[in-house]
Amino acid sequence: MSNTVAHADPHAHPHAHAHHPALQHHFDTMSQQKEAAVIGMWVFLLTEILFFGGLFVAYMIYRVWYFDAFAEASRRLSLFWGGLNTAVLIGSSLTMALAVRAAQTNNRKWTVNWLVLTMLLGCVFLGVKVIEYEDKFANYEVPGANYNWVYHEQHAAAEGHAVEHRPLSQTPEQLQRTTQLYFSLYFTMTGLHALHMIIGVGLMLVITWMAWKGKFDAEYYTPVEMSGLYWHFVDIVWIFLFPLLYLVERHT
Amino acid sequence: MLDTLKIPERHYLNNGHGLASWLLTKDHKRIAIMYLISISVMFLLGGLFAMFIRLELATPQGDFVNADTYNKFFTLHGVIMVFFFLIPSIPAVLGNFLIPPMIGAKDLAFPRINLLSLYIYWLGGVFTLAAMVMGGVDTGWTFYTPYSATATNTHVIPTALGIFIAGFSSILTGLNFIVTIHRMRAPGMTWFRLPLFVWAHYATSLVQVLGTPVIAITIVMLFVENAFGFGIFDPARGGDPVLFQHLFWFYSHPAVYIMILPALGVISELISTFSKKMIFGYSFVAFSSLAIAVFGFIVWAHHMFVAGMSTYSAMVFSFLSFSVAIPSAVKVFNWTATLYKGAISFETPMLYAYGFMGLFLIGGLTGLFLATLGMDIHLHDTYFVVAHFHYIMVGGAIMGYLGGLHFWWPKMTGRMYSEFFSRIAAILVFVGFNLTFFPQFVVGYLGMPRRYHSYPDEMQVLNVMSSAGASVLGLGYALPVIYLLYSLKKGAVAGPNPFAASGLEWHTQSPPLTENFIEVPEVVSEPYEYEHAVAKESHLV
Amino acid sequence: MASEHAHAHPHGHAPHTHGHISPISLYITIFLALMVLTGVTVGAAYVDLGQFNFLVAMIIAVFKASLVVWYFMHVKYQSHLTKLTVATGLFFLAILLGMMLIDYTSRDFTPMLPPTSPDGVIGTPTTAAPAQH
Repeated sequence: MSNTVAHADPHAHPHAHAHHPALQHHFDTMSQQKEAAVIGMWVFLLTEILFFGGLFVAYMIYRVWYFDAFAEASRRLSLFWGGLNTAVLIGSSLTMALAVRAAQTNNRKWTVNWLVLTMLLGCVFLGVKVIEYEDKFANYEVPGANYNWVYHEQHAAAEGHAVEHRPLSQTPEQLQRTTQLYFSLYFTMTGLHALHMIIGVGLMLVITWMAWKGKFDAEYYTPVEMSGLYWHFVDIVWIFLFPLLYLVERHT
Repeated sequence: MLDTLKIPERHYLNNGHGLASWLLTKDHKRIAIMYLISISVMFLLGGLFAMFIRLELATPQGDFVNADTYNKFFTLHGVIMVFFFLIPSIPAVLGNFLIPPMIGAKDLAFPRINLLSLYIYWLGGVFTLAAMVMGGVDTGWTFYTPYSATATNTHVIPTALGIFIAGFSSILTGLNFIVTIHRMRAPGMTWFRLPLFVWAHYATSLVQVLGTPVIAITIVMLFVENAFGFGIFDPARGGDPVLFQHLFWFYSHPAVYIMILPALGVISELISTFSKKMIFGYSFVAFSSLAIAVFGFIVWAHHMFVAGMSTYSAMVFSFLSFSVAIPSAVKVFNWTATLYKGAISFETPMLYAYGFMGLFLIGGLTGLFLATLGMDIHLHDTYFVVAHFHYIMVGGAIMGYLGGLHFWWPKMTGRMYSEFFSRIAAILVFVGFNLTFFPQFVVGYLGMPRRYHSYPDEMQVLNVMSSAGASVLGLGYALPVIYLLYSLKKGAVAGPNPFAASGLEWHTQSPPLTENFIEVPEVVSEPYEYEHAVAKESHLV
Repeated sequence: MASEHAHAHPHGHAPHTHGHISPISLYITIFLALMVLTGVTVGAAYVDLGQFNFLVAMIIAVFKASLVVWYFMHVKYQSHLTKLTVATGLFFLAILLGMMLIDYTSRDFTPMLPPTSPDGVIGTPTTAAPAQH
């Protein structure tokens, strides 16, 4: 008929020689399986880029429109906690990279150790985030019906702290409205980032357990590598969130 | 010939029985069948709402339902048809079933993720259907803010969550296809030996993977506004509702290409098979799919010309919108050139292909009217727009889907349907479709706005034509359900290649084995080689 | 693309089975670079650079992200396809932002209206409205 097809199986007896136990039936080799996983993971991260991208675009537009409001609202965030969290997250990226390396070199003990350390650092990050969120709730800085832009200053004045006043192009009434855009984006961005971290820690619990059970070796450590890619991506998102949210304008 | 054909002893359908063997399967073919059933249910539901819409519009007065109910009808019609039928239709059913055998693979790269995508689709469907049962939603399928965020008291949150969840199903399908096409091809199956169906799905997958996350984040922003009182798009707090539209259409315009690109791939296969010729300009047809996918991302704001965006950017987007016509026209011209001097036959799938070409042409050309900035000011939000996109989505995507379903049905089930009734159905669909939607171009041009449940008396004649056509169309869609189901038991045995087609999927038994091929095939020839084709082996007299 | 290897090459072309193993010292170096750059970002934010504050912050962030992608995520050692995937993501993000900015940057342009009277008086003169959204 048409389209000649030779049925030439390159290895006619697929089970004649021993396969790695992790090799799935529809792949021919471990390298093919691994390459598929790596590309699949990167395509997934591609979707994540565009997922967070939508928020970054919204942020950019409102930041240009309401720069003063963004600068003022950004000063309400604690640079100490933000900076600390950045360091924690970068540190967790290092431990994650080392966990993957330990898996590559067939070092079960240190794979587990580095993974546990990564999870701990992730939890530290989330704990700090809770402290920061609590502060926002306490100061009525969560957008919505209870949002109160001036509460923070009034509270500080009532406590006897000096309140500095910068010349602003917007009245407090305008700030009451427009700073809500900043905090809406702040909570959405950091909230989604934190959600990704929680998912990451959950993933790592499973991976650690698998590593503990000795499911990985130098030839098959794809799950460790994949969760590593995911964790580093979450780190990258924070690398952008930190200057955009905490450092809008600090020099005046 | 016929008597010698038998259904093979072992195939994917009888490899395991019982519900669990289906719900826990990793076989892409079984997952495709479950998708087929799921989207058919959704299609029925969406069609039901369409019927209510046409029933209401048969008379100028709003006398069947009140305005609020009507709003819910067209919203649910749109949401179900777009997100739960059209977007998964060809990729998740035909693509899922056919891409592995077409490229000579045993399965998709990630079979478990494939099954997961089906469950996610079901979960999304549950949310949206729950919203429907609780009382529906009336924002239109576009969910424009601020209405959807602050004004409406209908169930935006569960509906939007359903779409958010279903989006991940779409992403996972696209991801699976991309990796599969890159890494699972049989020896000798080079990129330029791939069937054009696979090229079209590769382009579709790119759109799914790149566009869907943006609608997801848009829905998240809408969600926090609805659920927590945040104000990202709230004009009262300085937000910009037009930003919502930008983000929404960044996905939802390319989403049209998620629906139409696979149909274009199906038609390429049909035209070549039923004219027994190599497709004219293979590489042009292949790359035009990619071009459509990429151009689709730079034209979105033509949906927003009257929404308050800047006139200057409207000009830019208007010009760019024309660019999509180029690769689309390349395809139509190449199909026509393929037909030239071909050994053309008129089996049912080919009837759908012919219908597709005409309707896609009309849909595409009226798209150019709408892309023209000045013209769009007049036509925006009229029935002209409704007619235009139904020519693409129904006349294009669904014709392609039905054509493909009829073409590969013998491959999927091993049995032939009634050629007589299927031709009747194809003709009914074509006639019914034109009768439904062509009058809408006219009423739209006369100024009838969309999304109203009443209209001036002068427009009744055209609207009655449209409603009558919808009944014919409904019949045309109901008929295949009957004869296809009938064929499962009583249909003639199809054999491995009833249409004498050239693709790799026809080189295995029908229905195929769970692992598709007995041994890994090696491809040694170019695609669509019909020079040595023997006389057509039709089972028809 | 056409030359790319299809599967089922039992013995040829298996470059990534064991992956590239980077030395620990490289990871530590990258970590330290990231920490230093974080410090630089914070420091730069306290210096008044006018319009350039944002630019500097973004350049540093992009550089940090590149270090993570290139070394921690091993893209340096991955196939062209992986690199292409990363590039595609950034390209389409640029389309999203760039095409949208066409709208947002031109909203306040003064419309060019045709003359309505022989002496060249422009139809309703609209002044560029300041961003009082």
